Amino acid sequence: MTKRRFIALVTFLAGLYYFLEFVVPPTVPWRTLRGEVVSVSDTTLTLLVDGAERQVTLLPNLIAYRERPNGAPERVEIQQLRPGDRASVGPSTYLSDYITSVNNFFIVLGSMAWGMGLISLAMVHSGNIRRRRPEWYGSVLFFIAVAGGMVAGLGYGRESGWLKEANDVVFNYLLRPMSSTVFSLLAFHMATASYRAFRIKSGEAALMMASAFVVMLGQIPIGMWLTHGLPSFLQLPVMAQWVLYIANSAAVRGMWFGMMVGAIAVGLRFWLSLERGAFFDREL
Amino acid sequence: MEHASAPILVAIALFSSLILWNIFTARRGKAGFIRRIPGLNEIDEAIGRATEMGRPMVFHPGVGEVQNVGTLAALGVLGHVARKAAQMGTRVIVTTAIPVVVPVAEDIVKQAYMQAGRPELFNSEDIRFLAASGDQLALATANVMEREKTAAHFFFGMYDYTSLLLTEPGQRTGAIQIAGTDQYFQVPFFIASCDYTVIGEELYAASAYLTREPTMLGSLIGQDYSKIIVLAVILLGALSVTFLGSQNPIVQILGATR
Repeated sequence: MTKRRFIALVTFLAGLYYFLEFVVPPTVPWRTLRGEVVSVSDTTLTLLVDGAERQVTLLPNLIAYRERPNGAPERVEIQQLRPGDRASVGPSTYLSDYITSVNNFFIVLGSMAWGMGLISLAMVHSGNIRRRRPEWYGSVLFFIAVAGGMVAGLGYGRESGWLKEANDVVFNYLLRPMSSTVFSLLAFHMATASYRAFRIKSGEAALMMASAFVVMLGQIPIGMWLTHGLPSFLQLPVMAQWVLYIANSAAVRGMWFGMMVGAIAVGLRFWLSLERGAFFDREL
Repeated sequence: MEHASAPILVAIALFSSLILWNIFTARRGKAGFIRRIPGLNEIDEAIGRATEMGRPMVFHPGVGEVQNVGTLAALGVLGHVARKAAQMGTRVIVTTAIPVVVPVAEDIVKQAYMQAGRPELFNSEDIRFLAASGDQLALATANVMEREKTAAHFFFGMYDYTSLLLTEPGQRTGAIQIAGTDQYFQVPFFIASCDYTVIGEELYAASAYLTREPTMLGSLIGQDYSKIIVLAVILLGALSVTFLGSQNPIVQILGATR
């Protein structure tokens, strides 16, 4: 079996589990009872189904879903059901029982990739040092920082000691403020980006400028003050709400429908290994 | 985990069948026409410009995990960018904060250089896992842009608040910037700071548009038929509620009421 066909087979089998887990109901449909809970004991559950009481013997493969007030099902232990609850109870189709294990498998697989990330970084920085590229001493600092970070990481969860101190210094007193600093740069980036975006260069830019003007003024008290004497539909807060919740929502929902259908198509192409250009240089 | 309700099951079966039917029809040689997407047209232009200037390019596949649909679509675009870069003998530097993306991107770029008959140009150091968090990655990517004097930047995939942290420093370098994301909250930031922006589902259509493979074109046509069905259902639902009330049989069949 070639590498490509092996990848395609593994991708298909992995996707098949998730697909089946989603489409197959969690309980066998023709053996599932749905109704109002009358009583629950250690060995039996009594449900009121279509006006008649039905007793269910509690076997190990039985699972229960309680209906939330909005009708959405919520998986619960049978003993958690209370009289008056709306619930459905039936034998498990088993697929959902393994979802945590399968997810854990992928988490383990993903965590292995952290090693690859570290190797990638080490290759880049060792190359910088070997070839004495400009600012190669920064790469030396990288290795020192990785070693220091690993040692400091050992102090996570400790109550006292120098490792805890090291952990605090590296993660709380260095990394956290630095991340906040980078995040705060966003304010300046937004200002420069907005300046460029709001220059009226075309009809679309003028429309964007006008709607941004209405939305911004409509969100602050001065917008109300400026237009309080006008009929309600011409007041800035009302217009801002219309732009945000009517015009904008319609456009966003349109995008969402397209994206969801697009996601199904991309998912199908990858699942069935029909995607040329990403993992395969030719169609299988 | 969530499970499919009956209407969702019907919709998935219908849309999947339509998409697969059109893929296999297109494979038999009946591919259709797809409209021009300016942002994607400009990708080749940007690669050409970088080649003329003799400078490398940066490709950033977003901040989503490798199983994210946006990331998968971005990797499709990376395949095209890498192939073109290999043909023109230009370097493409991939930066990411997701370690799992590193081997996948490496494989894609390596294959592209091999396909172009220039495997010697592939350098695994150009596929860079720069940092584990988004803001640190944005800083490190900005540093790569400054240091390597890159001429074209591609930002495709799923993005969060880091979109502007990545594209604004890129804008200042004077490089041509093309972005595409399915996160509509980030779209305005990309529009403000990039030369071309690919919005929403255009990202998913990107690899189809770029490769023009029958499979991909068929998939796009299938998507369009599916959207026509969605539109028809919306119209049917709206008209039935308007004229028959909110408890009418059509709405109940569609599962909109409980």
